[in-house]
Amino acid sequence: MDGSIEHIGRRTIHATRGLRDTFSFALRVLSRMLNPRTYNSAVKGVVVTQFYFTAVQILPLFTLITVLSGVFLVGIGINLAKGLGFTDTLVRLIMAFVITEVVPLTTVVLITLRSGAAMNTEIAVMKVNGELRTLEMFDIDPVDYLCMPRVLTGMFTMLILCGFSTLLIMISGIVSSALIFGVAMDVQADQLIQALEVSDIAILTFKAVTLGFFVTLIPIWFGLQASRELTSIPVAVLNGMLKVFIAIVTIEVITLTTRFI
Amino acid sequence: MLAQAVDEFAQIHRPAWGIVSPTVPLISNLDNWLNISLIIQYHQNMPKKQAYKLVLDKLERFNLAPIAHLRPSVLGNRERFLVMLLRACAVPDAHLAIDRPFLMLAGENDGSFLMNRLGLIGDLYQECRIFDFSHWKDRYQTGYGT
Repeated sequence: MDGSIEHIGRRTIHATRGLRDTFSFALRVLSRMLNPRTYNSAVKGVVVTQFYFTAVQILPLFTLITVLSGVFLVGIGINLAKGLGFTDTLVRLIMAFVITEVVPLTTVVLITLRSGAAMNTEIAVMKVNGELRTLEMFDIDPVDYLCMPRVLTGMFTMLILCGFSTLLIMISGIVSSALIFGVAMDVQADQLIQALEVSDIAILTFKAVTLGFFVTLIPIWFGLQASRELTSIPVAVLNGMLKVFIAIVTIEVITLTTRFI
Repeated sequence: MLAQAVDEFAQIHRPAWGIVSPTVPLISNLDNWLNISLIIQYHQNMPKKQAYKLVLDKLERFNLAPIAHLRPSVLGNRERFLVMLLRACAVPDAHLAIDRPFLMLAGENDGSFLMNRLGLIGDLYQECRIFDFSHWKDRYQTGYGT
């Protein structure tokens, strides 16, 4: 009995320390992000490169998934819902669901699977190879050079891709409605625009920035936790990806709870 | 013992010091020229184009311009060592520390290659100190001095 209580206590202390360290790292990254002196020529170069890797290279797959979501959720979904009556309410509900839930979730899942996992592995490999020591030897702060630009890019990418996705979902919904059900494009567009509310956009923006911050920060943090052994790379990636999943669920739960309280 | 000596040297000359060491590798996901320009861009905030020109001029001294856009993984021992040397010299008025060079220059029997190349970039550093095992002292008796 004493043993199991001790075990629970140890696990709780360990988890609390882990959470505290992650948040203190998050504060460090945020403070560097807000400091104009951080943005030297080398850091700007990393921001541009990372933006290309995270936001541009993902576009073909992202566009395909978004168009399909638009066709099924907005195009077909709304027209089928019309048959049930309460058209305005149902259109409003579907649009709110798509913009505040589907768009950020699909975007964050794609970014996590593609860029989050890559960043986690990249940093862990750098640690194992001794490349982080190289940075320290030349007085280059890894937080400035490696972490901050990646997190900043993650936030911007989420914001831009969520905006792009919302627009693309609406356009593909309108076009597919016209092609499949013969609904006039201007009628459908008018209905969708009226169903759109400022609060949905505000929630989308908040979720995009928050998710973008954490789905890049957590993999980097766990990458930095790797030791000098090769076997620590898969462990760091596994831990990082698992914690990212927990972070996504937590943010979803918090935003949902906040909305309905 | 050697590591301690290198640390002491670093303590004295930091931040104007550069190191070439097997434990301080090149950054694998950066091209060779970026490995050198990183130091210049980060500490001097020099624009990328200007830094590129400067680094290319330095690489040209060793006829290494063709490897500028390659990754460190494809380099031979000599090329990798020279890129590391130029990176260490990217620090203004650098005090160079070269840590166990023959571990990086596997296949070199004496210090002639090392001394010759250091001579070619003599204007890029203030001082150079080589840290090596005493039993490899003979390798440095090449007529170039130690």
